[in-house]
Amino acid sequence: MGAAFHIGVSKADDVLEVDSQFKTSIQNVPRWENELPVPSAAVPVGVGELPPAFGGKEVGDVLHGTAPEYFNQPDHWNQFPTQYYAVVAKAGEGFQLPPSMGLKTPFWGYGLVRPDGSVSPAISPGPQYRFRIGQPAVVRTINNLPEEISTHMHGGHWPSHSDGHASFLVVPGEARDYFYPNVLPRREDGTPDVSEAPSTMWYHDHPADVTAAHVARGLAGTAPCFDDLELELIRSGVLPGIPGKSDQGPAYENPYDVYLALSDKVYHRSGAIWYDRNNNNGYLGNVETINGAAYPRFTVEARKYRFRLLGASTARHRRLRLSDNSTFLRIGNDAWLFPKGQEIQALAISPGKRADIIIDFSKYQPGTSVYLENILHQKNERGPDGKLEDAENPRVSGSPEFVHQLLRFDVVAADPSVPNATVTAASMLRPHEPIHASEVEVRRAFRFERKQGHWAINGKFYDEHVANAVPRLGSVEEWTLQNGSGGWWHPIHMHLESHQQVRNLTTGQAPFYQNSFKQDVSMLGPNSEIVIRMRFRTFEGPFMFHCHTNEHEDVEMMFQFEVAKVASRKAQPVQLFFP
Amino acid sequence: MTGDIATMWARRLVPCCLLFWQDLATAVESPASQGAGATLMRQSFADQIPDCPLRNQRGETVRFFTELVKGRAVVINFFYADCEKSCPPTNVAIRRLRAGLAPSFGKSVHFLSITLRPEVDSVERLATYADVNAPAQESPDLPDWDFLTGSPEDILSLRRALGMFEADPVLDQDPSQHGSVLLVGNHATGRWTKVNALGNPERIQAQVKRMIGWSEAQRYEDVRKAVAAYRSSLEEGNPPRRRESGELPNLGALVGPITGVDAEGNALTTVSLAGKVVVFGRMDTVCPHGIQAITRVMDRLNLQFGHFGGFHLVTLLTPSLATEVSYLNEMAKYAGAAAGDPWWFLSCDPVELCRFSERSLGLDPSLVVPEEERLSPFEGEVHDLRLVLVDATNTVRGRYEVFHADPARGTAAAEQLEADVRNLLLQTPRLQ
Repeated sequence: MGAAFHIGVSKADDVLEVDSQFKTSIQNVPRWENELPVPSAAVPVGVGELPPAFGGKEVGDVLHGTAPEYFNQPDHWNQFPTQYYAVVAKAGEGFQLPPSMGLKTPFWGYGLVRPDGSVSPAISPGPQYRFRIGQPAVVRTINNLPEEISTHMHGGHWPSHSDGHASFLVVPGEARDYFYPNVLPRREDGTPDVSEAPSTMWYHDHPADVTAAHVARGLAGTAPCFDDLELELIRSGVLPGIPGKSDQGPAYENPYDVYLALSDKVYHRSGAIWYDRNNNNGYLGNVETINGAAYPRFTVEARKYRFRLLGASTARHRRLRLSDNSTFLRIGNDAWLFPKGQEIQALAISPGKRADIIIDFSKYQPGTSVYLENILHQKNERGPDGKLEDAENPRVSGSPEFVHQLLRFDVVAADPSVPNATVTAASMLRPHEPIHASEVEVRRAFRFERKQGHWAINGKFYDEHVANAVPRLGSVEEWTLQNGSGGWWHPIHMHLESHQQVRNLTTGQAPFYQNSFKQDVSMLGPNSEIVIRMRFRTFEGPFMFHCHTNEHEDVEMMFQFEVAKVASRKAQPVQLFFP
Repeated sequence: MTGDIATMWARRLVPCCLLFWQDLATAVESPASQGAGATLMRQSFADQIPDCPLRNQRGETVRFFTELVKGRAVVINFFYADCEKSCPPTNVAIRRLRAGLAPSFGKSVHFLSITLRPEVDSVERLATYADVNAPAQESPDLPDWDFLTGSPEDILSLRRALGMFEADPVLDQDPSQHGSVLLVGNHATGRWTKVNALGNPERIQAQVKRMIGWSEAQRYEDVRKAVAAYRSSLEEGNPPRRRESGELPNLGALVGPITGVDAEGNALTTVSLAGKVVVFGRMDTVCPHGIQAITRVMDRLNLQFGHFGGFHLVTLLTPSLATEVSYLNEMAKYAGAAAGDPWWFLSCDPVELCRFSERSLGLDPSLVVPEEERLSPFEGEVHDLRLVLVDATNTVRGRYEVFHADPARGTAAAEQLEADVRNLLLQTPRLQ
């Protein structure tokens, strides 16, 4: 343990209470024994030309093929040579609980194919893809699990075939060549929309009916993306990193930029992840994990770090703060950086959402320990206590007070050879291009509700044959999202592009600072109604939009929109289909 | 040929040795999930299912978990015999599903309908209900379908364990909230999900196969079929459009429109339906079975396609029956058409109606039944009650006898109509 001085009280004995508990689940997990696992970079099997590890099979020469866009790439898509990856979805086993408990956990994860064709053991979270805008990537995904999968690269701008559509599967024993062109959508005048370049993506399984169980078992991973602007921010020392190293691909090695994937679990006393496939309301765990390790500790230098917080739970919402209630800088929401950061003391994160933050540990003496804690109580699947409006309130509420510590930072002296990052709330990050009312072509309304024991949208259930909305390619639409299901929280996720919140019809207020730019998941609090605007560019075909409480999307709170040359105000049969 | 052999094997093996199937299913999974922990990861849901005693329609007492669920593939729903709202269409969906699963599953899937009103639904009532829904004379190859009752406490605990209850007690007391949910699962493979029976039947069947299939071949049969169709369309150089084959006949163009008044007394003309796929039905009969058959099919079409932009339904009524606008209103209400639905109830001049239905729709003229042949005083005329499908170019593409003396033929016609509407909608250019 070794920390000399703890800031904020160590509360290693607080219990995460949930209503429904499995009788033989593990209740007490020793904390701060696990080191925080830091996902390593996925290494491509080849760059530029078809790699030998593809076994002579051309791109698209697998059962589920590749995106038609792969064969019709405009010249400007290939600024850098294509990277080829191969990954196997398979079962694995490892320590998620502290090794002192002696329990290995079987999980589902991803094992990377090495350039020599051998396959590395499965890890969960999976290998970290590091993408570059202007550099296309092909990920051959082989399914060695007994159930179907579909990988959704969450936060990016992808062809319909490769987006991880709930009905575009990879069946067991087969493969799909996911094509990630890593292109920016273009404005009407043909120039690339730099504001849309994603930074913080993640990927997770997305097959219809079984998404939640698969995500809970571990089918998820992380994927940062870099463009010229962000690399320049690292090179010039604004964002944390080692200038000259962290801005160089393909590894973009950066010890000061760390994903924190938050996921709660229930463990059977054998160490296995326990999941109730027929609780379609939401899975709440009593053990918190970060990057696949329960209650880890992380040694940090006394300097600025960038953390990419990721709500990788299927149903748990959290409000996070530091144990000394000190401020940190939030620099992004979901995949996109803000134009400028915001000093805050707490932030809310729901399933599927990401938050990029900068914590400055230089204010602590080496030897200090400080904790990342969750102060949002959530006892049942309906949603957390408290109000959505309190997202950034660092005050502990509830009776008894709820504080649940997730991660311990142990501060050591900084390496003097690397200068501290200069980012502050005044630093210019990513420009933002608001969508104006005058651009809106079509308005639509969607009500998320409970119906006949199922979760529904506008009273309808997910049907892969129905395009519930047909926006015109290149157009802008304004959608009203309404939560009509008494007291339930629904984080609504839109695929394809970012969307922008315009106003909250329930409170009458403009969105909070963190929600006033771009996001791909918008929180719908109980009985609330919001207005969003979204552009539909580059790719034709069906894309999903759904509640990101994975259990709700599995029992049909999921719709699809099909981007097409001709729009329709009403639902239509789906035209493009990539099974 | 291979398929037939596989099916034959499935039918022979399954009834005699379910355990064997369980082993087979485990064997398929074994490389991926070894060890006791993995088994738990797979089966944990079943640990919660109560093993309460229930009684089936034959009066036999069965333990729910050990005798009906353990090691089996099941489709479970909750119903009550008096339900007139969501249970009848759910039962239709179950019948369709049994027929659809029979070729590849044989008897290796078991349908279980559990009553929500055990205090009313006795074993005798279940037997009558079973006779109607799964009559003894149906094909012996269909999957078994049992109807179950038990003590109210046991059934409540069962619903809770299966996740078929509402957190809200008021909603929970409303049986119609549960009527159309099917719980599908396979205890041996550990896969479970819930399916709404009122959805697209094609999707439901593929979904159920995927969830409860014993082998990968069974689970992904439909996915592989779709992939093959997609790949062959690529090879033929066609754009990968999701178009289904099967050309519909061209039965001639509509000759002129028809105008009339709707339930609100507004004048309407079919001219404004140009560019849409329209299903016309005549309702100039007093036969309750005929009216029921037609409206049920049209209501289903409304449910399936009513929210699509290019689809419309028109019910034509003769003014002799519908002299009053309020009558049209009643008919619309009876048929289940809501205010915003694309479904017109039109009443118009009888001469114009005859001309339109004979010349444009191509329906047979009504025949007057000679008095001596009438079985009842109401049986004055024989009407052609076929539904007529018209495409976006005002061309008649099919006439469907959904009301037929043989219910099986009526059902087949209705299913054909539904498939043809889907096909036409796929080919129709999208309208704003």
